[in-house]
Formats: sequence, structure tokens, C-alpha cells
Amino acid sequence: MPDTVAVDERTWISQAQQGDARAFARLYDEHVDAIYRYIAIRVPSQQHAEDLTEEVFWRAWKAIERYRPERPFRHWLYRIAHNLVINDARRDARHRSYEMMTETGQTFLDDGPSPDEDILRQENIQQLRQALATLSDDEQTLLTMRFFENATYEEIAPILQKKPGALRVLQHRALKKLAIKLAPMRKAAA
Amino acid sequence: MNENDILESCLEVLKQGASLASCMKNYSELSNESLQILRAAVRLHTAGEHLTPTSDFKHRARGNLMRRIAAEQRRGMAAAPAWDISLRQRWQAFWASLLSPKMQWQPSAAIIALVLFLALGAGVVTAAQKAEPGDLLYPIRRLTAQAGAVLRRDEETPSIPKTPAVTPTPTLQHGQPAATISATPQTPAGSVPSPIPTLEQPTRTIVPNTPVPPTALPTATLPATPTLAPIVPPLPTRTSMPGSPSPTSPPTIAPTLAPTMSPTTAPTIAPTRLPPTATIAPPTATAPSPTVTIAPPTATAPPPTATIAPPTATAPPPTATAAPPTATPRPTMAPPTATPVPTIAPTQPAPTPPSWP
Repeated sequence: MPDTVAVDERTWISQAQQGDARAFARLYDEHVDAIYRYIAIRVPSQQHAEDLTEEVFWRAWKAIERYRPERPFRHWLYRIAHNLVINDARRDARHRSYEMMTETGQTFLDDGPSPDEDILRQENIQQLRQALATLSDDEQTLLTMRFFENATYEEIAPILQKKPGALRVLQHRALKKLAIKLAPMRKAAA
Repeated sequence: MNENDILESCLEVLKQGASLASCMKNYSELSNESLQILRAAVRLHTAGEHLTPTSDFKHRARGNLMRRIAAEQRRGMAAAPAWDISLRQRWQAFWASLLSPKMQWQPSAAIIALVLFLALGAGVVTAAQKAEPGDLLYPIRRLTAQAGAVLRRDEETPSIPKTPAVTPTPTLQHGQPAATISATPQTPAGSVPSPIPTLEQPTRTIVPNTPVPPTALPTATLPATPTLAPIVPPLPTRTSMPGSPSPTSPPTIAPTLAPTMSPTTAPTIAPTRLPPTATIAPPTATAPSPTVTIAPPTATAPPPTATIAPPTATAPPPTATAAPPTATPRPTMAPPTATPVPTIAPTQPAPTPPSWP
């Protein structure tokens, strides 16, 4: 993840703030993968992850006039995604029935036949998602940003509105809980 | 370096792409718990690498986004979809469109403004009909009355020549009792004297009705008062009128007044009180009394007399019906004729009482 906003990105942001849809499309191309990953590990289906990803960028477009370049644009998008996922999880029954869906083998990576490697990968992701679902929202956000996006504590701090030192402690505690949750799953898979 | 620091450095190495084995080799003192944490972190890290959106989704979502943005820009609403626009925003947009320098009026706005204007105008004119002199709306009432008079005049101009021609002849026949009054004919026009005597009769007969209209009449007759002054002597009769004639006159009044009044009354009433006279048919009959003596004003008013045609038109019908009764009224009227000018009574109440005794 870049520490500073690229010059090009600043230009696109400025143009998008003046209503240039093409400039905003470039911002979308730049950040859609990261936002999708952030969402996909926390929702039960691929379709759901895609819908929420699209909604994040739509809300970003509507609010882009309020964006201030003091912090990275991607972090601003993460903040939108974070709020969206939390609100969605609270009102969406699909999230509550997540465990039932995974038990039936219905995952968001189930799209057609896949090689053995993909099967193992799917199992890994499925177990991870199950384990992550037991963590708090802040813990999930912290872990996904740290290990999906390689974000630093300083970058995550404004998103979670916590100090970097507190995030360090929070990460250790979250990984510990995650390891405890994953251990029995690994044994079962073995 | 404590275990927590070792874990952090290991995580950094793993995030750089190193394997878990290499990390464990460097930090052999890691506890079993820390190893489990590192394994969980590695799994998380590798899972993230495989969680990538499909190119089909990215292309589709990009297209959807651009379409939504274009649609929103077409609507001209910066950041709110149509269903999210509050009533207040719509109201503000409505007035903004009305007050914009470009004057981009919506048809609905123009219609609403027109309806409001007409409704307000009608309301003011209606309210002005009850205005009294000195009221704020009284000038409007006068304006509307004048406008109505002008319109009526325009409509009746062709019929004007008819009314004078028709009315004089009947009045002259009835004018016999009023012979004394013909002395007053200070009236200018030669044709005027004939109607005047006839008017005296009506004025007397009208007295019974006076209780109702007296308040309305003064305004109409006021301009004539100067001319009436010299003729006033007969006024004393006014006091007797309510008393003596009342028993006999009531029935007779209606018939006699009708024919005679039509020609003479017209001139005086017309200019000032067109609207009221139109509605108050009976009062108009009483009004003539002042007009009779006010020959001078009639001279100036000839044109207006034409406008009074409408009341005259209404009067004839009663005359037709009243014809039979007219026979009776004459006797009753004769004696009072000596004290004719009762019509002035309303206009000059003060002087009459002293002169009578």
C-alpha cells in the first residue's frame, strides 16, 4: 500500500470532485481489488461481496466532495466499506445464517469445478471466514487490513479511531483468538 | 527481545513474502502459542492473495457505476437520488426556479401565480362591496361602480333615445295635480318641465317608504341640496307625511309612482348610485322626490339620465299592473300636493320643523 497519495491519484481526485466521472473511474480501477478483498472475507457470498463493493464506490462518489487529501484515499474507502459491512451485517439475515450456508458447502468461491489446489484454498478461506466472524468488527478490520493490504498501524489508526499502540495489542489478541478458532478446524480437515 | 516483539518482526517478514519455516528458524525460542498465531497470520495473508474480484465483476460494476453517475448528473442533483430529496429541497428548488435570473418558469408556477392573482383580486373586489366611505377599500368600491357604469353605458347607448321619448308622454298626463309645481321649473331644458310636476306626486307617495331608504338617499341627493334650498318652503309637508298619508297612501303609492318616476328619477340617481339603485328597486322610487326639485342638477346630468334607463325599464311593469289602483290614489294625493316637496325631507330635515308651525 502506498504511503502517500500518488500525484496522478491526487489529480483524479480533484477532477472527480469537480464532477469528472472518468477520473473517478480511474480511482475505481486503482482500488477495487483491495476493497473487494476487505469485504469478501467478511461476508458469506461472492454476490454479496460484489454488491457491497459496488455500493462502496457509489457512496464514495456521492461523498467525494467531502474527501480531504490529508489521509490516503484508500483509507477513506476502507472507512466507507467498514461502516457499510457493519450496517449490512446488522440488518441482513444472510449474515446471521452464515454458518448454515457454509455447512452446506455454499461459499462465494463455489463457481464451477476447480482443481485440488483451489479446493484447498476454498477450504482455507472458508475456515478463515468462519473464524473471523467470531471476532469483533474492529478486530476483523484490523486483521484484514494488516494481512490483506499490508497496512501499517498508523494507517489503520484513523480508520478505527484508535492509537497505533492500542492497535498492536488488539492485533495480538485477535490473532490469538483466531488461532484458537482455527486449530480445531485444521485438525478436522486433517 | 520479548516474544511479542519477535512475533511482530516475524509477521513483518512473513508479509514481505518469507516462509513460516524461515521465521521459525530465526526465532527458535518461539512458544507453541506464538507459532499458532504465526500460522493463523500466514493463512490470513495467503487467503487475502486469493480473494480477488473477477474481471467480469470489475467490468460490470464499473459500467453500472458510470451509468448511475451519468443519470445523477443528468438530473442535476449533486449527491442525492430522486427518492432521497426531501420536501424542503423540492420547495427550495421550486422557488429557486421561480426566482432564478434566467426566469426558467415552470408552467405549473405560472398557473399557480395566475390563479392566486385572480383569487386575490376577486376577494378584494368582493370585500370592497361592503366598504363604507372612509374605509380602505372604499376607493375600490367606487372604481368598480364606475367601471360597471361605463360598461352599462356602453351596452345601453343605443337604447337611450327611446327612454326620453316614451316617458314624457305618460308623465304629462298625470301631471295635472302637480300644476303648482310647474312654477319651480327653473329647469333648463324645455322638455324637463313636464317630468318635474309628475315627480311631485311620487315624492309624496314615497314618503311611506322613506323609513327604509332615508340613509341611502342622502348621498345621492346631497349634490342637489343647494338648488333645492329656495324651493324648500313646502318641506314642512314632510312632517305631515308620515302621519296623514300613511293610512291612505300605502296602497296607492305603488301604482302612482311607477309611471311618473321613470323619466325624472333617472337623471339624479344615475351618476352617483348606479349599483345601489339597480338592486334597490323600491328605494329608487322614493329617491325621485329629491330629484324633482333638483331641476338644475338634471340639466347638468342629461347624459347620465341615459344611464338610468335600466331603472325606468323596470318601473313600467309596475305601472301596468297598478293602472287600476291609480284611480284611487289621485284623490288622496291631491290634498297633500299643496305641500308638495316632501322629497327634500331627507336632505333637509332641520329647517322644516321650524317653518311648519
